[in-house]
Amino acid sequence: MNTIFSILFAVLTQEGPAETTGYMILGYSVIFSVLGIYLLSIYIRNRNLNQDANTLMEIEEQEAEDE
Amino acid sequence: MKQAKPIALTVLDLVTLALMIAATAMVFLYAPLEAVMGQVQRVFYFHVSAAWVGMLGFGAAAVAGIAYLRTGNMQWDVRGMAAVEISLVFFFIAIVSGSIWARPAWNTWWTWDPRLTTAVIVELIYAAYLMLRQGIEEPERRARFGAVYTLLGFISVPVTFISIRLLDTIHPVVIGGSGGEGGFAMTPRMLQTMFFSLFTFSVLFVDLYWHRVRLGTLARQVEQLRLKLAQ
Amino acid sequence: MERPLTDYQTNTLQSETATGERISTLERVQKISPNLWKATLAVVRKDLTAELRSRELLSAMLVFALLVVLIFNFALDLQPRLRVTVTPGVLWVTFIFAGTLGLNRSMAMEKDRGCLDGLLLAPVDRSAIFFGKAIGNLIFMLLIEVIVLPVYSVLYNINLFNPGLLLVILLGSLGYVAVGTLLSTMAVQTRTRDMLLPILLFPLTIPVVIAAVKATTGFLEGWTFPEIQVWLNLLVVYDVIFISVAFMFFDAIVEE
Repeated sequence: MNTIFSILFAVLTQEGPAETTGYMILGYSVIFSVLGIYLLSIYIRNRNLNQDANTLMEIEEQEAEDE
Repeated sequence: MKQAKPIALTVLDLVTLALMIAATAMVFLYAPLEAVMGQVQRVFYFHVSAAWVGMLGFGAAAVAGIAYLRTGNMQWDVRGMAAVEISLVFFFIAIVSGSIWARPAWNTWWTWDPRLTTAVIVELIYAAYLMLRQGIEEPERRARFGAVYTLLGFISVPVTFISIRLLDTIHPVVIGGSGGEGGFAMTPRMLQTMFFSLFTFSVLFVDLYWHRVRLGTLARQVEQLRLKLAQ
Repeated sequence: MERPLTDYQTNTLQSETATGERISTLERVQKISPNLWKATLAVVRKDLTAELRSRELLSAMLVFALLVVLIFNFALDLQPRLRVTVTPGVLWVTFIFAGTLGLNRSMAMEKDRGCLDGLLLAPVDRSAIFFGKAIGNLIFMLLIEVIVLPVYSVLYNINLFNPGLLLVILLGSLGYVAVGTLLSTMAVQTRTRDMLLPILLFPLTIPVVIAAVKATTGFLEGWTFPEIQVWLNLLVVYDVIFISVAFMFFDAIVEE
């Protein structure tokens, strides 16, 4: 009986930390995934630009040869 | 035209990675469990750090804006754009993580807290900035208008923050529950974790900024090459 | 439309003193200040004359403002009990939307008829163009507000004739128009044009909205002066900052 009361008391007065692990996991997964997406976007844009640069340089060389 | 990646940048990448791992470890293993809010309080460390990086980018964009208007050097436009983009990403992280923290702490996803609300307004200013740039073909004019708009934003945001603050103090927003403040006393370990996270994110900012400026420079070079070939 | 412009151009051409010697900025300001004032008035006069002839801007703004009020009437179901608390918000949203319409139109007209280039080519300080356009826009916005207020008073049986309220409207419109004139000059030079102005303008004018709505509420609900003063101060600070900043940046926006 005593234990039941003490548990009830603990629940009612919210003694001790609240159970919020789910929100913590959600928070950090959002933080890391946004960071990851941004890194990926920089990487992909960089790769595409490098490809473009290479193609353009090839065209330039070809034009120089044609002349 | 393809610059090789500087060794210093590679070193910085590795240092940033190590710091990020250390900071994450500190957040989960070193920092104590908060007594009232529980685990979710751990979001606080990276939430504050992300907001800090957002502000760094916001300041850097304004500096680049002034420098561009003074010198007319297009490299400053690249730097300004890089700062805006990073700031945009990190304010987004700060807003979403703040919202996730607010849910268990205040029992609501959104609190209209002056800081969070101002961050949202900054994001809208950035969105407007990006649309403005998109609407202008000519690179020189795009840079000039962009610089002016970032500076206007830089000047208006503090005023906006103060107005929302005033609104808050005069008509306090009712937040569910009496523990509306949601503040907590920081133990030394918490403070250490927070400052380490702030430091780590500052280094992360420098690293990302460097990469983003290199990307912008490359984009500009490709653009010039394309124009040259089109003639 | 052509005549006032040419009038204005010859005016300013004649009043321009061609001094070749180098002079300091302060001296320059002192030297041109009578001209600056004259040129500013000329730009304002040009806008007003053009508007008096066509009346397309004012009529569009007015009809739009009345429609916004009408829509709010049905959207918010403006019951007598609610009115006083909702009125400041409704009024300011109306003014701001109508203001955007006017700002957009007034700059787009300059651009479309090639008047903007004409103005910029005129040998006159660029600040005269900025102040002229800003004053013109302010006059249009105030005119709309002066018409909307009594209409609103009649429709909702609220007494809006309060000198304090008129002050708030003047201060709020001033800051809004200062930033708006600068940004509309920017917006007309882009591809997206009309669409862009509100997107650029609204996030920067949030302090005006907050302070103006609060001060309006204060005057309508009869707050004590110190309570209202906070918001009036904020409006004045915003106006001072943004009039000077907009004036500073205008050169950078029109330079070609």
